[in-house]
Amino acid sequence: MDCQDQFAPGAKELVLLVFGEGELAPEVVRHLHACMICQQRLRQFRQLYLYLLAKLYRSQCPDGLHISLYCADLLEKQEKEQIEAHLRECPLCAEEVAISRRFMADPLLPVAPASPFHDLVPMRGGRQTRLILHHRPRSARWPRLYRSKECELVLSLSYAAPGCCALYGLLSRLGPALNDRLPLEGVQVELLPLETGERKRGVASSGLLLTTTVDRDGRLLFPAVSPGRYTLLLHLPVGDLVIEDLQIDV
Amino acid sequence: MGMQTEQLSNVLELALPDAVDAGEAEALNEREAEQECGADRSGLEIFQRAIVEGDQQAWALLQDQFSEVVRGWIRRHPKREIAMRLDSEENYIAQAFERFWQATAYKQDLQFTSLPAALSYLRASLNGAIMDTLRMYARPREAYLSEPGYEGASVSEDRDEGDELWEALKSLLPQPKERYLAYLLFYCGLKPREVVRYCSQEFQSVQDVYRLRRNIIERLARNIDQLLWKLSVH
Repeated sequence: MDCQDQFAPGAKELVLLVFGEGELAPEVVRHLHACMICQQRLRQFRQLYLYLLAKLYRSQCPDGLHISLYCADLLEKQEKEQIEAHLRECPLCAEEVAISRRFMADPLLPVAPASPFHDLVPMRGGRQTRLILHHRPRSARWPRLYRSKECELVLSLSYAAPGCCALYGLLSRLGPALNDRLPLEGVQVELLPLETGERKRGVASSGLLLTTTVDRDGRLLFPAVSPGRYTLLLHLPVGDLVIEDLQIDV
Repeated sequence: MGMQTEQLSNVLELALPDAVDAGEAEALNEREAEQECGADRSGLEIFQRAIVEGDQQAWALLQDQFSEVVRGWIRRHPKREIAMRLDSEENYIAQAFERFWQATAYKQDLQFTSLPAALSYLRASLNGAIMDTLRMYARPREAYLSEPGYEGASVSEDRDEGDELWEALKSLLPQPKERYLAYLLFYCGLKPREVVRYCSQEFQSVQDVYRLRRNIIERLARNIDQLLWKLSVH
């Protein structure tokens, strides 16, 4: 039975009350406090909502393990299809699948360097992403190969004059797909001397900064380099490539 | 430039990966591959002994050897921050192994042919533990409540009961859009704004959702006796 009073809350007001989403006019509130019929109706709405939510909330969703096994492609066809059908309707499970897939895209075990070559690892720094090489004394011999995901750099030394050597290198892309995205010609290369005894990495001394550019074939040359420790910087279009603590001995 | 070209040609010759310390590199790679292969075999054997033979010592060894791997996964999980606010790393690790054990005990025919396959399953178990924990804490407070007058209004895991209720509900909501909104409101516990955020194609505005929700509740309330009779809960 509905209350016929002029201040009786309508279904809209009652639903707002159930969901705690609105304020009623003071006279409606006063009426509600006094009217058993309206209170009963409000209670009915609330009970209905709570009942439905308690009974239904995620009752059809596959549990976390099944979501995970689905993402890892470890389910049988029938289970997989069931989850796929569910995902078309349930935005919460679709979101969980997206998170799980992101998690499972990582390598299972931390990647260990598998080659004798230097690996270039990504690092945030300055205005762009940098690829930075951490010093590994194991491969201190020349020539040296440095490798990132997208390119590799071979560096070598040769005697140029007493107390002076030439440092030269060849920069190349890893894969023809990068040809357009990663032009090498004209890439600026800087060789920054580090202060002797300076323990803090990457701090350049006031010594002379040497610069060159990569030619059409990916070649670079510093014709006269004094012995010492340097940082080599290549300003690639995709970010800087940095080789830290490059020790050059004649 | 003539001199330069000649020198660079030498570099090329010297520094190509095939030529740089080729012998040493090959030997090193072989040694690493052998070590990796040996570690894989022994890891897989522990998994097999634990799962197939139910060897308790192997279980203990499994947990001992791979706990740190699981810890590493937790630390790389996209939801690690919120997950760590809800439970400890140790509990997630314990849950990962427990779920792994339960899953493998349940699926008797489950056999791993490689260590990565076994680890994938273990990682899925960990992810399941994390996702279920997040899901439990995201559950709307109201979904735990029950009020007098409705027997069995507490949380139920009984899927059949949910199915029955949903069928009864659907019979009262002939419009597909209303049905879908009811699904999002009661199955997913979404608020109107979340409905618009998740399903912007179906529901363009919050007002639209408010209006439809009112219709749904009104219709259900009008037919509450019919609904309860169908469910035999009064």
